Amino acid sequence: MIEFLKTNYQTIGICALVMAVLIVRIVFSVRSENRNRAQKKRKQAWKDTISRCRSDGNFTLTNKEIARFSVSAMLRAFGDLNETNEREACSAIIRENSKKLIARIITRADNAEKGYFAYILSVSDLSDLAEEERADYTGFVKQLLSNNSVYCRENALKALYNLGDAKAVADAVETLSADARLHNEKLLSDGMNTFRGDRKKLAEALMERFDNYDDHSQSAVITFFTVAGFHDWDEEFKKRLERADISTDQRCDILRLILKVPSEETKKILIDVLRAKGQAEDWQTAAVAATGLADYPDDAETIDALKCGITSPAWNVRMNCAFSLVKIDPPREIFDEILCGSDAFATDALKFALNSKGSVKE
Amino acid sequence: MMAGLKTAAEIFTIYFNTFITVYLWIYTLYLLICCLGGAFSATRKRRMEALHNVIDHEYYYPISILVPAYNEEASIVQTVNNLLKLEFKRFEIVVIDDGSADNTKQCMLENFPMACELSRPIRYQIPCHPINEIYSCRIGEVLITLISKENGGCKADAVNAGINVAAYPYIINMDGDEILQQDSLRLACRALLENSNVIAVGGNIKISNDVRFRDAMPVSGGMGKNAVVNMQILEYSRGFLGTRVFQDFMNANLIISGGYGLFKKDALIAIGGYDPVSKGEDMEMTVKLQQYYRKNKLPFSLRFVPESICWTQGPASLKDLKSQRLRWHCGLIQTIIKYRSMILNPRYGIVGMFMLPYIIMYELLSPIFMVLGCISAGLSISLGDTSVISMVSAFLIYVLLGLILTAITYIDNRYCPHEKLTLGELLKVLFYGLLDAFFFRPFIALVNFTAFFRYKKITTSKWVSPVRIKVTEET
Repeated sequence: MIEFLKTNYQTIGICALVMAVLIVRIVFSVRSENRNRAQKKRKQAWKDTISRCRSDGNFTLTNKEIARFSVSAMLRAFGDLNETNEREACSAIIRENSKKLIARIITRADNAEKGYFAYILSVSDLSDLAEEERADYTGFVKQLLSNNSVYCRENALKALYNLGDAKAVADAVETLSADARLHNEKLLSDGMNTFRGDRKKLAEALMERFDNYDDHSQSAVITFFTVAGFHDWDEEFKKRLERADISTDQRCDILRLILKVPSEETKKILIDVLRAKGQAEDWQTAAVAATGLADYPDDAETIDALKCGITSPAWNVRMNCAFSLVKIDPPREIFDEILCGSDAFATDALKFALNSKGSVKE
Repeated sequence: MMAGLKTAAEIFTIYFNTFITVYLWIYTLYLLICCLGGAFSATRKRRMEALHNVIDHEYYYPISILVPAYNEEASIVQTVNNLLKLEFKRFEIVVIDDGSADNTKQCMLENFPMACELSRPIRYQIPCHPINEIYSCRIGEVLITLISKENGGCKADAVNAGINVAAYPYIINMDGDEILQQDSLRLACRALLENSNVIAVGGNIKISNDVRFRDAMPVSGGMGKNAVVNMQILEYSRGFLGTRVFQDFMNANLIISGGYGLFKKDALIAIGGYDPVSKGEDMEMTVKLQQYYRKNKLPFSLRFVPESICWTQGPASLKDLKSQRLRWHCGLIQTIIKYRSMILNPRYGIVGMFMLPYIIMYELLSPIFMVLGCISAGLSISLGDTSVISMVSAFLIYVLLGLILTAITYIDNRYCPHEKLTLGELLKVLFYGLLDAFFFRPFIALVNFTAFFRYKKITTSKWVSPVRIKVTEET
């Protein structure tokens, strides 16, 4: 055995190292089971602070209490309490201590903690925040937008939506564009819909900076307008469709926005797009236009365009034209013409749409 | 003559022992890095989750769940019913009956109000055997589609048919006997929201044989009485939480399990879908994705999300297990042969330079090295080069190492984290860990060794479905 130890000391050494690592891992796993108990104690510490503040009638924290915000577990306990019936008191703490809190978080907290503080701001009641404090927090949160962590950026955006400063959100989108940080488009557009301030003002602020945004952020803004039902800038977007330098995705988003408000002009645009792109390789806009035309019933021009679109080589254009035609429900001869025509693909698409009558797919 | 043989044996043992020492050293170091990386990543994720550094959003990517089924009459209805319990906004279920010889199709038609869609056009974007009939119905918001097609002889062909019919831009490929945990899609989709370059997400697969479920969530269970199943539980824990987390970190994932994988449909179509000839279609698909995206210098990311869980039935008998592993190892051989041009090719980055050579040395050829190792150990002892005690000591260290690793990954990957870890459960893990080292792993290695000799027969055989049992559900 001793001989073995002497000759294999390197192997034994590395095995011992591996075992040590593994044992530490077990200890960590077991330790995590006791975390709940410790968390209760931390929450109690915050509750004691809140009681003291209530009895003093003042929610200004001591330096020692402020220091708790840069300790993960204590910050988490505060956040947990903020989502219980102590929310009002927690919001008061946030309101009364803005400068100290920001200074502490900026200098002492890591990315995850900064992100969590932004999350706390996003779920707090900040409706009666004074202008100065609001500006402090807005400035702090805007700094987080340059953070490498996608979670930190998302929480920062959520905080901005909750703070309700339209200009700050417009700036934030510009910052993300300038840094070429691809923040998920759907997160951006849906986030804007949760904006706590005046959404109309937000839309105006976004439009002011629209040209400074990257293609991706512009699409998010257009989607926000579509969902929120803002059509004040439809004319601008219609003109935008004529530009050659915008992406197919953005064209589709613009079409989805303008087709919400049926008009002769919109109909003409949709028909032009369907005719121009129905047979092209970049057929995506034609597929959207085909769906939109379902809102223009009993119109010979529309039916002609759809009849043409149903022979498109692109599957989605064909199917959408078929579903729109069925929704429009033109005279039976139109269907017969397609069903008895020479294009078997068009016939198949129309047969399927007729059988599933009632649902239009995009 | 004898002297010549003795010299040859001595030369063999010297060279082979040196080789195997280096081989095991590299393996140990890799294991150490993976374990450290996995532990670091798990701890970091827990902290991030606790500090709300996650992306949870009401909007989710629409997903088509493809359930290829061949002779799955015992489990298919339960599988679909469990999928209907998924906590997800927009998805459809596409069951592909691959010409089953049993009543898979009838079971679906009897249990769901399906209507035949005679006129539904099919967009054949990737090749598959002809689709005969399509049925569909809507349960609540969820569209269920049943595809009845000619038997293609493999799961890959059935999945390809499903891709052709799927309506949504993302697809999930799973098996006909599995339970997707209620929150699995929501958690898998986080990876898509975090990074727009993600083209595929692999989930964590766990063995469901002795687990009780309520609304597609595990409520109790873990290790049962079947030793074969218990050892697979330990094996899956080790495999998924060790190396895959590390591979994920390096964007070098070479296998997104056929049991549960989320893919961008366009990416699958771009590479021509699953290879119907392959016996390990999941690995083949993942390597093909790596090859395509790296060769064309396209931005991509293949993610592994251990929190997104799918429950599968492990083979309950040695016979079923043997046939499963033979198929897996033959699939591995096929894939390595097919993508041999990627090996040590700098064009494919870490996959070509490290992951593929690693898989060849430590997965493909390991059964051969194990057999040669046993021969070499026997020769070394008989030639007096080493003592039995040294050999046994080294083996015991190896067993102990494996045992601790097994225990840790099991604790980390416990089935019902809300249940307290009991001493009895821990002792059970250690007992089966020992059994795993002395019996299970040598058995699997031997099975994999025979795969080299049965390669031709297995790669030309059709897919078979192992015996299925109904999963226990609480109401």
